[in-house]
Amino acid sequence: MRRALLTRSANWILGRLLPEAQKDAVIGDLIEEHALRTATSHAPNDSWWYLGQVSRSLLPLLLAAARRGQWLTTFGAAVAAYGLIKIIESASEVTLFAVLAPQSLAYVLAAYLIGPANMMLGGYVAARIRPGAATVLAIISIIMVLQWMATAGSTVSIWFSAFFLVVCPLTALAGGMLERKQRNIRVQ
Amino acid sequence: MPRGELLGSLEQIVLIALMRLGANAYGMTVRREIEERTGRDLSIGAVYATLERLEAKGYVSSALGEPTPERGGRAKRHFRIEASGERAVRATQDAMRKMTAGLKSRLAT
Repeated sequence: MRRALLTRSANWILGRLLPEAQKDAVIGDLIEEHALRTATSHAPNDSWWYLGQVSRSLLPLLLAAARRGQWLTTFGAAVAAYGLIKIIESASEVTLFAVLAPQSLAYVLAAYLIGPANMMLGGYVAARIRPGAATVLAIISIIMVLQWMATAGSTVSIWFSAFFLVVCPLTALAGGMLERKQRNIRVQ
Repeated sequence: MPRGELLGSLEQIVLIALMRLGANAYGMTVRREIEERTGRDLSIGAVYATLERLEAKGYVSSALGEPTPERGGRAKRHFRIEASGERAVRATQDAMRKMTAGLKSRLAT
């Protein structure tokens, strides 16, 4: 069960780095050789070999993806989505400040909701431009929240920061998943 | 191949593996052929990255096969060395021969 989950996760990572045309061929090759090794070596399950193959494949595949220019476009889409989020977030904060009293419960609740809601929209937009860009956006959000925590210091509560550190990347990924779901429905 | 452009060692090894395997050349068999003959345990990612580079140079062509159950229903991608690929191997081997001429005793293992 755990081994199956490990190999599935490894395949998922490989799938992120491979172009659609190569995905089946590479993962199929790994599955075939893994089965062959398990049958001939009398080992019950050579999962470590499988994981070793996947982890050693990451660097060459990353370099190949960079050569194809995929990563540059994906990164660009994520940065563009992040820029859009920041514009909407600033506009929302100005509106919020004008409409609600800063000490009110409604203001605090809205402050908690604006970031994740925008991040979900950003994840959706990023994935719309480029599949996989929502994942990069999630990573960018983690870096930006960590940077914010480092510079804000003790002026912001740790719970407030931790909330954004966890929720922002998750909502970005959720936005990306929503876009993928919609795309699959359109294809069908 | 443009004059002066030589293959890298991995490119050369992969192309020779394709020549040896003929119609049975796909990612897994290429990886295993190299491991059995040279002892180099390459990752499947390194093999595909090299094949992709060679295909972009026009030395290799590929075609998708049928999905098979032992591969979890996934299709193979068969690779074939092109005439320009064979010329590139010959030119690289020729350059190596010229460079190592007269060094037989020093290079003997």
